[in-house]
Amino acid sequence: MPAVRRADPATIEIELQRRFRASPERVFRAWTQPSALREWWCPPGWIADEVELDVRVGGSYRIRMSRVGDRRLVAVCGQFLDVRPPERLVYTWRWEGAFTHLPETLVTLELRGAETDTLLTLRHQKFADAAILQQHRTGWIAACNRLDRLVTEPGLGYDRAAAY
Amino acid sequence: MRLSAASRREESERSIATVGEEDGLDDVFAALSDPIRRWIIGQLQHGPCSVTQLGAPFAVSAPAISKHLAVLERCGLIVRWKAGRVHYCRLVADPLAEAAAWIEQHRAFWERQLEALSDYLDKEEDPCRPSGEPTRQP
Repeated sequence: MPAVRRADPATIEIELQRRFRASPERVFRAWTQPSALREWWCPPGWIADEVELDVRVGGSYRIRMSRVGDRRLVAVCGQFLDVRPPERLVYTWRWEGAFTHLPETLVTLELRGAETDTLLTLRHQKFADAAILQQHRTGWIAACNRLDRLVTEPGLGYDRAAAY
Repeated sequence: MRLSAASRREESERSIATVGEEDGLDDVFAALSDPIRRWIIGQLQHGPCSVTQLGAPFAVSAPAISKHLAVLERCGLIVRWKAGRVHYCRLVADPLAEAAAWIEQHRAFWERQLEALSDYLDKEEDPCRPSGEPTRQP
C-alpha cells in the first residue's frame, strides 16, 4: 500500500499519511504498548532494550535503543500532552545520544477509520523553533566573541586586569 | 562610561543580527521547498561541484539550473565562483543547512517506522478475534 506523504520544508514540519489494514484500536495499541513497540520500533540491528510508557496526559515515556554489536545507545523520550484512544496522541519528542543539538519537538498522531482500514496522519513539528534556537545560539557565541575582542583590545579605556 | 556605551552598541548590533537571521530563515526554507534545489544541496554535501555536473541529471535547461543556483545563493546556502571557463559552487557551512538535514533525517526515520508498523500489524494475530480464526480474510 503506497504511502501518501508530504514533507514540506517551507512549513518546517513533517507530515506523513499511511493506511493500515487494521482498526484504529489495533494501531493505537501497537503504538502505545511496550510489548508491541519492542516488536516493530527498532530498525534491523537495533533492539529496544528499555521501553517505559505512562500513556496519560502529563505522563512520560522513554524508549531506549541499543545497537547489537557495539552497544551504542540512543533514546527518545518526552511527555504525553493529549491522549485520546484510539484517535489522537500528542507528545513531546527529545533525542538522547543523537541529534543532541535538536531541542524538544512535537509529534501528533491522528487515526481515522474503521474495522480493517485506518488512515494514520503523523506530524512532527516545531523544527522551526529548533532552527531559530540554533541561530540564537550561534548569534550569542558570535556576540560573546565580539565582546571578548572588544574588552581585550587596548585603548578602549577598559583594563581587563582590573576585572580580576 | 565608555564601556557601557560600547556594551550598548554590542547589544544593539546583536539584536539587529538576530532579527536578520530569523528573516533569512523563511527564505532558506522556501528555497529548499523545490525538489531540484533540494537535490542540488544534497549533491553539494559531498563537496564542491561544477554547475554543468549539477545540471546533468535534469531535463532542464542550463539557464533554469542557473536560476535555482541564484535562489540558493541569495539565501546564503551556496557560493558560486568561476575558474577559467568552468563555473563551480559549494555549500556554505551554516546552522540552517544543519536544520534542513535534521528534517530530512526525521522524514526518512518516520517513513521507515510506518513501514515497520505496517509489517507488524500484518503479521500480528488480531487479539480481538477468537483464537483459531484467521486474522484476515483470504
